[in-house]
Amino acid sequence: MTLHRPLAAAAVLLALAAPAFAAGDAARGAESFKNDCAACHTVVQGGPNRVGPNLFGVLGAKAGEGRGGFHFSPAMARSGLTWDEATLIRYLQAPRRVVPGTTMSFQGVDDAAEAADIVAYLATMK
Amino acid sequence: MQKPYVPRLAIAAMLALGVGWSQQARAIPAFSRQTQEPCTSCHIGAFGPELTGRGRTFKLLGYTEQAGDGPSWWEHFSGMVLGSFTHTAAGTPQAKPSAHSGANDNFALDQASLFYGGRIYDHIGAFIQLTEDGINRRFHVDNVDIRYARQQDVLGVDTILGISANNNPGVADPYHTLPAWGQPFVASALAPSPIAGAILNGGLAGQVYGASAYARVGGMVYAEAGIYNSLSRDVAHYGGLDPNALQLANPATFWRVALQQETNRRLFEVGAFAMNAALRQPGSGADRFLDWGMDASFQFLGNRTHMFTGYGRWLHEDQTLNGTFGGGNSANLRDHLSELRGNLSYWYQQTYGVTGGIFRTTGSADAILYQASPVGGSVAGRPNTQGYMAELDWVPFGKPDSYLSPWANLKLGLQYTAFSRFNGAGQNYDGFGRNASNNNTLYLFAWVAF
Repeated sequence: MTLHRPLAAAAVLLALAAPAFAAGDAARGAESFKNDCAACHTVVQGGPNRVGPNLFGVLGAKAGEGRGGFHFSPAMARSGLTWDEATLIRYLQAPRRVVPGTTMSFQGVDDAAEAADIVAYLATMK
Repeated sequence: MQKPYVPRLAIAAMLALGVGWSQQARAIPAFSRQTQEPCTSCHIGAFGPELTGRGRTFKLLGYTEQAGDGPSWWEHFSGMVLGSFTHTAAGTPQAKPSAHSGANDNFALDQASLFYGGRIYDHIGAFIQLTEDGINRRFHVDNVDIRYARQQDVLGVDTILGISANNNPGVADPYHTLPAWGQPFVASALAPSPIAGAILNGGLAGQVYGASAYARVGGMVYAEAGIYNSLSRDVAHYGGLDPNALQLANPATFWRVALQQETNRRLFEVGAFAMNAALRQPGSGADRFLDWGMDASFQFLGNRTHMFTGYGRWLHEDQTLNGTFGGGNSANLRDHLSELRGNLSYWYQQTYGVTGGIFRTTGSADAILYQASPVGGSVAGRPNTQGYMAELDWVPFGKPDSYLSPWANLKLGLQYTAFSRFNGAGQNYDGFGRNASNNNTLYLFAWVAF
């Protein structure tokens, strides 16, 4: 039993750390967005669609709808997803795994932490 | 492409001179207009052709991704002009670089090109270039790369599959290690070129037609296989190409495989490639060339303020000169060449670039294939050449908020190429008193794309 106590303590610490990790850092996310996303997406209110749709207010929105008439792929349009934090974090790490058939060619960000940072930044754009 | 300095049509010399050494320039804002992305999105240094991960994907997807409904049809057309000044350490009064140039200190309009670039239909796109060669004063069909590509899951793995109809083995490649897209991206067409180079180093560029199938699997493996045949002499003539170029005796095959680890911020790649070709020598059989080699790349893009890239290539060619040897134009039935090239670059704020590189060619001694002649010859009967290059670049535009973006871009460069050995020797390499260092070349260029 005593051998398991440190492991249990570590698990508790990890569990406590996880929500903070998932919450992300919006400032770092802004930098990541600039490097990884801004080529294809605008994020300011009223910004134009490019190869990808404008992402202002994307958090909480239905996937494949609206966005100023952006031409979504059939796969995205019928995905039935809602862009909550967890879904966006998963999507940003592997877009084509979460929505097979999406036309978003981006292979994904480096890791969950970076995805969380970007989502934190997107959360500020509403 | 440059004309040979060597008077005889020795096969290896003809394949080498100018082709591959003097790179053709390519960069077009039509893609930027189609995607509404700045040049920096797809190109390191805000100017083509050096691709980022985003650029590689755009190319592999057949130039088809677009913003909204895409641009007007006429916005798919782009132009490009490359002008330069070339100074070599010693002029070449015995063998002027071209019929329209002086012996040294030449200003030139290297080339002016018209492009079609971008999506044609859903999964079909093209990159087509027509060029006025200002050195040799001819208008010709230049690069052609027409693609059909799709991205889909194959057995649960994200895969890009495509077919490219093109006119140069290696031009479909997404990296910058093979000769078709390797550094230097531009070089003087008015400076002496080494006597020999492998056939994959531009020897078939533009003179063939063919197709390759390619796949990028899981973002980790890239593979391509292609087959090529010679254009007929009539087609070559009407395309502004050399109708007297040697013809392939049978279709040439090309393949390449690369393993990569790529994110949006970095790339590590190692690969291998090969081409098998046979060129018919009139009246005396066919020369066979087996080119094969290995390559490696890295790109570190970080937050785009400081960017580092490195590219290396080793290319070996086994030549079986049935035709050339049979015709008495080489001393050996079998010769070989090896080329080694490596480059490192650093870019600051996608605006200021510095590149350094080394190159070395070694090969068989062949006293008939490689003969003494002013400037371009080899008194040692060897193709061995080595040296280094350095380049400074300035790209003032091409960023998201740049002047005239996405309508025009400009690159100004200063390139220096130095030779420690040229065509087999450092001193009196040509048998007429010329030293390798006499070919050291300063090349200033202005490259405009619109």
